[in-house]
Amino acid sequence: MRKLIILFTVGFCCVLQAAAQQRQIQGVVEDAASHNPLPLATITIQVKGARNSTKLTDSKGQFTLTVAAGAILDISYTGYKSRQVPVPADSSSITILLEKSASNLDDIVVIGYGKQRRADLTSSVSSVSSKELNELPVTNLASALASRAPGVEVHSNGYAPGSGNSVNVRGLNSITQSEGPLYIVDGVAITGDIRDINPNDIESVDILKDASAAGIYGSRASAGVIIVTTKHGKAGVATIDFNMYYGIQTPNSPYHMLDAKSYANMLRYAANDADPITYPIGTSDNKIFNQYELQSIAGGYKAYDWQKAVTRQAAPMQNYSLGIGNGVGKNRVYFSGNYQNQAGILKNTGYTKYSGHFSIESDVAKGIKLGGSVNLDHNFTKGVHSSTYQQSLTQSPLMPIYDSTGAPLVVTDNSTGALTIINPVTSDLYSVANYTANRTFGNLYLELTPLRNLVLRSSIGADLLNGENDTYNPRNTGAGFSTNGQAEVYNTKSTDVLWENTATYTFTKGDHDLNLLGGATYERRENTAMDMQGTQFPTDLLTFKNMGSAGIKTQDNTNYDGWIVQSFLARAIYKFKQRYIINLTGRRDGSSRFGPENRYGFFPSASVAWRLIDEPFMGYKLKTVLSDWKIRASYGLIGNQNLPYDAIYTRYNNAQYPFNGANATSGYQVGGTAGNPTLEWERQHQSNIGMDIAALSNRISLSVDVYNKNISSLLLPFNLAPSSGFYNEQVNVAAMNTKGIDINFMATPVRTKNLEWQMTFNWSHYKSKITSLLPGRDSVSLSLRVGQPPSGVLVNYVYDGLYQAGDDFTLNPNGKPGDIKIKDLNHDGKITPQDQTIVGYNIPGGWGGLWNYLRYKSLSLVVLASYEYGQQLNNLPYTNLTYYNAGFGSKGNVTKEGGNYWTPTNTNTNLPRPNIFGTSLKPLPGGPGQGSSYSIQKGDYIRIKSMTLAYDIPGTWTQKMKLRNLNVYFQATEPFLFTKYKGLDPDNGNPTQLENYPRYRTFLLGLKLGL
Amino acid sequence: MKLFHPHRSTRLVTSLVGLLLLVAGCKKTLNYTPEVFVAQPQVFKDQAGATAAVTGIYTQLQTLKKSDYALIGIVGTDEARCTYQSQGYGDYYQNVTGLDVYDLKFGSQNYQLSGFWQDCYLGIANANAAIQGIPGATIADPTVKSRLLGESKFMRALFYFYMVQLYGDIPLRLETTPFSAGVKRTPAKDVYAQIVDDLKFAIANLWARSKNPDIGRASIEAAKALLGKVYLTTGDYTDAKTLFEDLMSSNSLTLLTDYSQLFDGQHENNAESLFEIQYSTDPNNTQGLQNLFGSYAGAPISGEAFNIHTPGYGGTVVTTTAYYSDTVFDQTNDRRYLASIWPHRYDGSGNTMDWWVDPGLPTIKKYDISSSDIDVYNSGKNMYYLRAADVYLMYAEVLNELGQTAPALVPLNKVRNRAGLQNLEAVLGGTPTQAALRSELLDERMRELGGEGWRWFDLKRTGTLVARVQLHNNPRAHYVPINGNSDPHPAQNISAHNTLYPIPLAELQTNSALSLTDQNPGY
Repeated sequence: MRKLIILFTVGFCCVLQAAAQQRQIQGVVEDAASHNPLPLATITIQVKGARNSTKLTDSKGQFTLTVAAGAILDISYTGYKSRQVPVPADSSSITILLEKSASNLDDIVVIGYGKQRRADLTSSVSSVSSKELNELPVTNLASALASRAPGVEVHSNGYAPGSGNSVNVRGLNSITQSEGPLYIVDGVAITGDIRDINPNDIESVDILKDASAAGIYGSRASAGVIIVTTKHGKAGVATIDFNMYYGIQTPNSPYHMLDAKSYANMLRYAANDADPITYPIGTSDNKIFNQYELQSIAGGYKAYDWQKAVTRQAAPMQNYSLGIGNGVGKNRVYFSGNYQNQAGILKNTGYTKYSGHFSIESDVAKGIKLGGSVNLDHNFTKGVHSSTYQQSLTQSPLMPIYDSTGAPLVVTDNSTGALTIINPVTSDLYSVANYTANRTFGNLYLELTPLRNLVLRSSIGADLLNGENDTYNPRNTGAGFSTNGQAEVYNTKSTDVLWENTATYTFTKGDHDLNLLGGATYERRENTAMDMQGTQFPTDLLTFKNMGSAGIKTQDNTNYDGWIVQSFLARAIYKFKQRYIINLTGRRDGSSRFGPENRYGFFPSASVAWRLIDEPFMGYKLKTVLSDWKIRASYGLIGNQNLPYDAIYTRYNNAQYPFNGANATSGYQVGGTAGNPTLEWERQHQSNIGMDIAALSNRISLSVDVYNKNISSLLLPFNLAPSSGFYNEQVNVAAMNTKGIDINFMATPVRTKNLEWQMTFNWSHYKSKITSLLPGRDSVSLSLRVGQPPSGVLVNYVYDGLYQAGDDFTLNPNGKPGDIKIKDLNHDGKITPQDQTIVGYNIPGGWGGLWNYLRYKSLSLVVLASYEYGQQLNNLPYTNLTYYNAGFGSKGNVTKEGGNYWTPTNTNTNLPRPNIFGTSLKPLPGGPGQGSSYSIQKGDYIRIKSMTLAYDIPGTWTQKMKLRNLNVYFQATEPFLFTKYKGLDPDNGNPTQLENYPRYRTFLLGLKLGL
Repeated sequence: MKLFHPHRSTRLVTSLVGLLLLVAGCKKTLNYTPEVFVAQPQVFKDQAGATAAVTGIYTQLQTLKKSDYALIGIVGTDEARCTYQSQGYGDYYQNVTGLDVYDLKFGSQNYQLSGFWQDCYLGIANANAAIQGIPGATIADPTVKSRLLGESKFMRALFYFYMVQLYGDIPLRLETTPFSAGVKRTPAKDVYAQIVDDLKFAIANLWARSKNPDIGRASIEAAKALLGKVYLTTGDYTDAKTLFEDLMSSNSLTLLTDYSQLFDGQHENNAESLFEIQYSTDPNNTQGLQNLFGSYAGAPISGEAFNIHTPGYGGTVVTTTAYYSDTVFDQTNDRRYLASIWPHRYDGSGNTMDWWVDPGLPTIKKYDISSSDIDVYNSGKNMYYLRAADVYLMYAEVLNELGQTAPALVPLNKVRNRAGLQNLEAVLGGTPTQAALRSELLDERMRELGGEGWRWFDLKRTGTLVARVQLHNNPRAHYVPINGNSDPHPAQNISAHNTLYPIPLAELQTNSALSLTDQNPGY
């Protein structure tokens, strides 16, 4: 029975078998350099013949122990070198100084259903700590990951406050079904956007990159798994942390548009080019310009700054967060609250977020632990019509912005009643494009320890997300004018419930360490959506809030779908002599998204690691240089269960017909996509070889991972004969390969008491290509071809300069000098879609980040830079702003560069003749919107993401103030960008989307306070 | 320490087994069906499902005729053409214009030709599904079941009739053809045989127009008129005559007294109508052809109701040929002239417009927004597929072809008299020759049915397509040329091979029974 008690009490209290010569000592653990106290350091008391016991220092780094003489104290603290100190024989107080360690070997890495020391990892896992995440004032976890972890590619989906990001782990993983990585937050699977997770609440982020690491998530793992662990109360201490910052964002405008006079001249030329009889140069102003513009011209080309009218010159952003942890007693609780507010550079835009996080862990009885966490988030993104910014750029600078009453000037054509002058200021002021999200997610778990080495855990997690998109364009905007107000309310709701039961057994004897995991999980997800759109509102006052008042309901629809995944998982990690480690993982998933024949899939993986540094043959001499050396290898199969939720069904969709010409009768219609019940998972066979090496007491360390992914059974829509009535059916047919390399380098070139310099550098590279498409075909379209990447291939016509007088006009019989020349690639004498070719790749040759930390005494400077090179962007927005490409009768300003357009006297230029009908752009078969290779630009850049100057108030002062720590900092966020790219920002996936919002830099002051 | 204490190991095993059982208990719920749509077996269970599936076939006809595909049959003929201006709207409208000018855009990749093909076959696929599914559905009243089957076959015939006229030999897919199968081009005569079969079945099983539960459903009268048109098209004048006389003897044909009422949007499903494509003002069932025809009201003008007509606002795609608007009508006496044509275009202030390269040309009026519509973009106006006047003119054509030229004037004069014109023989001072009446009938069909979608088919049937387009669709005189002789020019481009449309490239590429060489000649 006594044995039983011992077994059940390990970790909670200790029963010392050796009694005698017990005495009390008091001590403090401090940083050797700064003498700042180290709270929550772990002190392991080793007494010969007795079981080790552990204790943590309090919030001031202090501890009190009752120990036997001769005991050894082993003090460890994350990020510091561990030390062993004998209990002094003659003193009852002790000060223990710990030196910072450059090594992260003892860091704990969350690997999915478990944890592991970094030193023991057999697979490829990148980690980002809370400290790193909060170095930038980001509103979104994904942007905090950018340039931090090798192999992780993060791009903005937009620059407006609250915009999401797209994340790729290790390159491209699918042709049609990419959905980004799987996020696991405290064991809860989060699908899609993770912008509702407060970066301040995150303790650590671990990115499982290779098949062995991610394999425990089986059919969800093909795009990588990102595990997020939120903050929890720590045993034995109570802490209060308060962080805040306040900053100002100022716009960066790379667009300099033509001044009023040059604009007027261009328009005169463009009109004359179209019709020299109607618009003779010099005497036709009254036909080209409206009365307002004529007034401005008469007033000496009075100009109006439209960009300024829609932007804020100094937009504030602020953030406050408070975290309280209490680990005293049998319950550990953590509570935090956060308020964040970012005003947008575009007027009337912004992002506001309120979030709360609560977690508890309770030792209910011996061997029984109960815990849970809840995250509540409410955020509100205020937006305006997406074309507002673009319109402000192209507005006639001669046009007054406001009328005499100060309201935005809107001009109606008397003859047609149409809104002829669309004033972007109206959409900026009055249009609504809001998004509100409420998200609650969390879990509850019960952990039983029936045996010393066995942990049984049952956890129920849920993720509930309600999103609402509200749009309204009132009558005085271009979008809402002709429809008398136009509104949309689009609501989405998703419910994800995950129940997981696992058993973990650990066994250690001599040279053998074994960790076994088995489990079963059940996940059910349901999505509902409701979309209402209407026009013809009696008033603009109520905006989208009363859809019932819409005269015409243009959309009134709901959707409902979901899926179930049920899995069994197992993992064995075996370590021999601390240096040979093997990991076997397997998961069997059953998914309702597939037909009965293909519901179940098995995803096995294996990995090994060899800690060379611990081999006896590593001589002493070598060890004085090398401090770590490990080789890793893994191979495994993971899957992608994404497919359209209805892909296995042939749908009968809604159809209507008004049999009497008035009242609609409902019906069904078949057609479109044919169901394919034999669909199965996309399969990814990934191998990874990695090496971790460190030298000079870990002051230099390097991790290199090389991977190769063969991805098969890729879904592709297979086109059916149009005469079948169906467009296509999905088939598992294509295959692709992605190979790449991730490198992470860390160094501490200088480390003295007062001066320190640390740096990390990472570089990633991949190459993806399609290896097979449909049977017997090596191309599906110009951009989807065997041997080419599955996405990012830019296909267009090849720009060949401008036609000059006397040129051969065979290719463009209607052309005139000054028109765009397109290359006739297939030499058939005409320009057809077949003359398009690959003109660039929007895939980086490499990317990464460089982080530098410089400290002099308590003053530190952190500079984070990111870089990307080798990718090309189809910068259509810029091209459109540079060519005078206005459509029929409308007018638009162009950039200063665009002022160098072709005229009979200015022939040495790349920019076509302006023509008010846009006919000079006609040789482009798709019209002006499609561009040509002319719009392809290199996207290479280096960006200083942040420069942070911080001052740590010294420990002696903070102690007087009864504070644990106090840090004040000044930061410039994204202060510099070095690039030749001509648009707003090369750091993006899709310029067309992103050029809708100006870029900005931020200057902020912050404070971090611990109590 | 012993690893497994007997007691505890029992407890351990119990807990593990318990956990696994809990999860295993959920296994049955892996059957998760998205419930936002239905699949084939659920549809054809009962009368409601079968009726709904038949409704979907009508929906497809509605979809086909409300899109730009509705221009097929109208432009590229001697009655209407695309404006030069519409070419400037970009690639898409260059394809639309291709329908008119028979240039390079009139090829196997033309969006509208491909779309028309796809949309008709989508209708055929829905009809096939219904023809296959309805027999197994539980429907108490057998006459309802046979009517639903009849409607499905009527609709299948209607779609195939478009296809066979436009494309010639086409893949004939019936209810037994699997969707993934490749199907060869079936000779046109076999397609016609199938159409005749389907329509005979329809005549035997459909209900009379007056008995139908909804006025817009296919009826015996509609099926007879359509079969008559099919017979006329294939040159089977005797069978056509029988059917038309049958319609007349059963008093199924009525002409409205006032021609303009046919198109005012206030007299839908009237007595003259045999089969209409139904639209209504609810958002899913409107059409926007007024936009293409330049005949929708301008944007709102303060103080005026939106449906006060101000034609010509915005981009006009279709205008009449000079022949249709200026020549073919007796403008003084023919009441159809002002009911069919806007002789001028006006701006919101009522001034005639000459602001573009196709200045002030007349437009077709039949697609105007009606006063019962609710805004300028969405029209709820029905379109005629078959009406009594068409049958009278077809009957006249049949009699004339059978050599009965004088009797042919009787049905023709019914149509003329309603329009306010005298009997033809009175105007001519005698009975015309057979050849003269052929030509007169073509003109009469333009006057009566202009812009209603039959013109291309009428010209093809009578073998006059190329000649009439060359004669009457010559727009050069009607706008300021921008590019001299390189402006698109239907009369100059059309040639004999254009009497068959090109098979869409996508069909040749994806139909495993076809190859690129299975294209119609000339493309």
